[in-house]
Amino acid sequence: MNCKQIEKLLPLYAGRDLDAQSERLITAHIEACAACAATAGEYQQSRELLQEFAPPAFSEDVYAGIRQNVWRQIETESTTVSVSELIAGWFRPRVIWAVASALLVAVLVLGIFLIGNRSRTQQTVVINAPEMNRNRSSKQIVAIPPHEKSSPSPLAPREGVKGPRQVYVGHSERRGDRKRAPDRLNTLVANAPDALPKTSGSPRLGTPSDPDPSPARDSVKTLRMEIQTKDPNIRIIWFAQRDTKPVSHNSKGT
Amino acid sequence: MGSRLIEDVPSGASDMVLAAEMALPGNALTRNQTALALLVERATAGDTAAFEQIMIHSQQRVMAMSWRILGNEADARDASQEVFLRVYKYLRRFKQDQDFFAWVYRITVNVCRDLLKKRQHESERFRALDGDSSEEMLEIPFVHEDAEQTLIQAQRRELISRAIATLPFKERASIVLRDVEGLSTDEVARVLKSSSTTVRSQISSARRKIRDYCRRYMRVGEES
Repeated sequence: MNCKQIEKLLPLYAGRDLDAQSERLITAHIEACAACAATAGEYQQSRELLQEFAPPAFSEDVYAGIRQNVWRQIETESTTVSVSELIAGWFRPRVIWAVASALLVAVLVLGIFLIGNRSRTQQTVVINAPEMNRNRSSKQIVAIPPHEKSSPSPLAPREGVKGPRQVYVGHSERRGDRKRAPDRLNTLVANAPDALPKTSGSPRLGTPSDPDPSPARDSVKTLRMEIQTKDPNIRIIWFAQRDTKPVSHNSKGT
Repeated sequence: MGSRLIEDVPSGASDMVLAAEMALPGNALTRNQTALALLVERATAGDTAAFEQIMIHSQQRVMAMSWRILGNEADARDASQEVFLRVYKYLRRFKQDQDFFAWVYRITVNVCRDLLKKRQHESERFRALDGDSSEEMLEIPFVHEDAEQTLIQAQRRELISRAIATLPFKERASIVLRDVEGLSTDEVARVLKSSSTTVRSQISSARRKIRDYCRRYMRVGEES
C-alpha cells in the first residue's frame, strides 16, 4: 500500500473501524512513514475532541419543563382531534372497509349480471317481433285490420275503410320513455294462434270467438302480437300478414 | 448496576433512583432492557407513571443527542419534547425484541432532521463558517472554578460544534452516534436504517472534514 491508499483509510483507522488485516498494514506503514503518522495523529486528535464534545449540564428544571410540556401536549391532542386526522382516519386501511368494498363489488357484479340477462331477454323479444322497431314512435299505434266490425273497443275501426288502419291512441310518451319503452314492455310476444286463446275481453280479429270470420281471412294467415305496457289500459296489439299465397295456390291445385 | 427489575421498585423515589442509574452515559444500548421492557409494556397499557419513568430514563440521552446535532439548547429542548411526543404516540409500534434506546435514537435523529429543515430558513447557525465566529458562541455555563480551563473547554466545544455544523445531516448523525455516543458501526447502521458500508463511508467522510476544519482553525489561531 502506498501513502495515497493509506491516507484514504486513515479516518477509519483512527476509529478502529477497519478489519484486523487492514489495521495491521496501516500500523506497519505508519511506523515507517512520518507524513502518514502525522496525518493519523491529526485524525486521532480531532476524534478525541469529538469525544469531549459533551453538552452543558442541563438543570433538572429544563427536563421537568420538557416533561410537563409533553404531558400538556398529549392532553391537548387527546381532547381535540384535528380535522385532518379525522379525515385521514377514514382513509386508513381497516378490515371493515375491506369487507364493505368486497360486498360492494359483489353487489355490482351481481347487478351487472342481472342487467345483462334482462337485456338478453329483451333482445329475444325484438327478434320475435322484427317489426316492432318501426312502431317506436312518439305515439302508440294499434293496427286494426278492416275485417273487424263489431269490436266494442273504443279503438274499433270505422266501416268502409279498406286496408289496415292505424288508430292513434291519445297517449304520447314522455321523452324519457322512448328509451325506456322496451323495458316497460312486460308481456307478451307470441304468434297469433298460440297467443289468442290467452287474450280476454272483447272479441278480436283472429280469435276463436270471432263472430264474423271472413273467408278472405282464411287465405291470409295473420301474425298477432300483443304487448302489455306497464299501464294496464294500454296494450299494443300488432298484426302482420304472412305471405301464404304459395300455400293457397297449392290448395287450389288440389 | 442498574439491572433491578421494576417489580423491585416499590415507590416513586426508587423509580427515580432507577432512572438516574439508567440515564448514565456510556454504551448502554442493551442495559436494563428488562426493566425498560416492563416500563414500555405498562406505558403501552396506558400507565402514565410508566411513561413518565421512560421519559426520565431517556431524557438525558435525548437532550444530549439533540444538542449535539442541533447545536443549541433551545432547539434541543424543542426536539426532545417532540421526541417524547412521538415515543408516546408510537409506543404501540415498538416491538419488545427491539432495542429501546436504538429506537429512541432513531426518533431523535428524525426529529432533529425535521427541525433542521424547519429552521433552515430561520437560522444561519449551521452554515459553514470561515473564521468569523465571534458572534455565535455557544452558551457555556461557568460551573468550573478554573476560568482558564473553562475557556479552553468552551473553545474546544465551539470548535467541534462548528465543525459538526458543516457536515451534511447524514454524516452528522453518523459521527455523533459513532464517535460521541459511542455506538458501534452496526448499531449506527441499525439506528439510521442504513447499511454498515454506507455508515462507514459517512463516518470516514465526516472524520476527514472535521479533521480538515480543526487543522484550518488551529492554523488560523496560531497565525493570529
